[in-house]
Amino acid sequence: MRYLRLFSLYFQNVFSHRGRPLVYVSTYVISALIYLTFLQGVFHQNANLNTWTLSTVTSYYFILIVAAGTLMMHPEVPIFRDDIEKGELAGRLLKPFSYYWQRFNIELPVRIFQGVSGAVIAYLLTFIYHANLQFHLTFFTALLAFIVILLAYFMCFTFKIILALTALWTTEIRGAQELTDILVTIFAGYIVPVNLLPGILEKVAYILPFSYIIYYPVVAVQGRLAIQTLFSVIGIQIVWLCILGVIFHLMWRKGLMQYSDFGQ
Amino acid sequence: MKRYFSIYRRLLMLNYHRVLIHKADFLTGLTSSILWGIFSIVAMYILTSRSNSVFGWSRTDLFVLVGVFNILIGGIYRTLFSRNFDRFTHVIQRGELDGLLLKPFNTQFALSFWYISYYGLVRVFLAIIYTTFVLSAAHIAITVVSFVSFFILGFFGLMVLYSFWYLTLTCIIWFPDLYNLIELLYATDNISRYPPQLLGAMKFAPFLVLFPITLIVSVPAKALLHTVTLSDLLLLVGIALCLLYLSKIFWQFALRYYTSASG
Repeated sequence: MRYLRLFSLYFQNVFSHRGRPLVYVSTYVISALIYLTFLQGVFHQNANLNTWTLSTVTSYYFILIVAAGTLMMHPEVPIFRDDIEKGELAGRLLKPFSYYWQRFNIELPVRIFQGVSGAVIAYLLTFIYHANLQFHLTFFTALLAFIVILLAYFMCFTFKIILALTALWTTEIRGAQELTDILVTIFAGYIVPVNLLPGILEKVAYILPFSYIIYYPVVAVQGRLAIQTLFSVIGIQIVWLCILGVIFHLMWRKGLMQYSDFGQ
Repeated sequence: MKRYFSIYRRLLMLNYHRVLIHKADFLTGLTSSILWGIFSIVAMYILTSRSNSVFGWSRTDLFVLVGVFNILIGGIYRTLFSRNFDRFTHVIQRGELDGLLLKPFNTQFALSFWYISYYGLVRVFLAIIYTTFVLSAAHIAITVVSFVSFFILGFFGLMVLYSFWYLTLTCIIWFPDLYNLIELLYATDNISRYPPQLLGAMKFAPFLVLFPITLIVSVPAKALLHTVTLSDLLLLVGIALCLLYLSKIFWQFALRYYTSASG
């Protein structure tokens, strides 16, 4: 119940500053439309690209806008800037909530707001582009797709928290953050769907966790994955989540020993 | 004017001293700048991996476009202006503009030229090497005419981008909560890495506002590719001068509505 109250408070905060998340969603819209339009130029020469047609790829980028708004979070920025750099972590440690869930509660309302805004924009874009958001789902595949999305959310959140915690040792994460952003943009399926990446890049994308955060949830929602593939994606996501969970716990325990603060 | 050159010389020195003091900040900025430069090339490689020409631009032309983007926007613009515009948003949001308005020199100058991110110069240098390599691999000669026209058009291209950012961020005076508007500008910059025809294919009329952005890189790149026309040149120069004038007028108009944040 107390988490729900906390969530409602943070949601009110997001809603009162709704312009900011809308600006972020607009950046996802612009990026997605740039890549989509460029690929449309490529489709003028090839009707099919590795199982993708112009209509399926259009649908992919529109769902990507929603996925980016919902799943690609940035808790590392306030954690680094406010909690570690400005030393607000001490105050958070005194609260009767686990640090992980405190941050989770702050992030979730933003994600819901951005996801809903992204969905509205994506829906409007279907009229402008005369396209359909294609969902070839049965009840069972929809359920599995939902699990893929849920696991993707936790994967991204835990990964970003780990990234932020590195600042407890280095006191500077901007370089690592930029590197992560670049890797995510290339390997999560922002530029093109992962199976359109050339040669070695496609193989690397399947090894790294980023495609399981954005690409697979999007294609799962589109209904492009067979049930067997969905199960294997969920399996890999669980493995990644376990690995990230262990890393988080180790870093949190050791990192707190490193943390020093000053007060009055 | 002479006074402003003298102030700018001082600012160059001060920023150089800042680099010497905050070496880690310089190295982080340098690393991320180079990484984003590499990213822009990799992204173009990915996008063109299944086609040799898009919107009438060959793969070589597109790689030249990326190189010019890294010289002009990724390099020079990020060195001279980006950090100042980051500060611009915070100055208005936190109500610190009063202090700048009281200073005995032009506020637009103080907001635009305070910081210099020297690490961007490394990206300019690397991007020049990259672009020269792509041009020579495609057997496209760099002549005196193409070099001079690239230099002049690049200058006007930067003027377009500066004015566009200034115009957009001036809106923060009315909406101080939207300090992340700069993120949107970074996203719109990316459109200049692609052929201008891409904007027309976007099928969304409001995006036509971004038309000047598509000229910033493409017209200087055409100069290097020997395909620039007189109409390209006149269009870029005309838009640059109009936007610069508009940004100045709009800023003066917006200042009437600045209310500060103090009690």
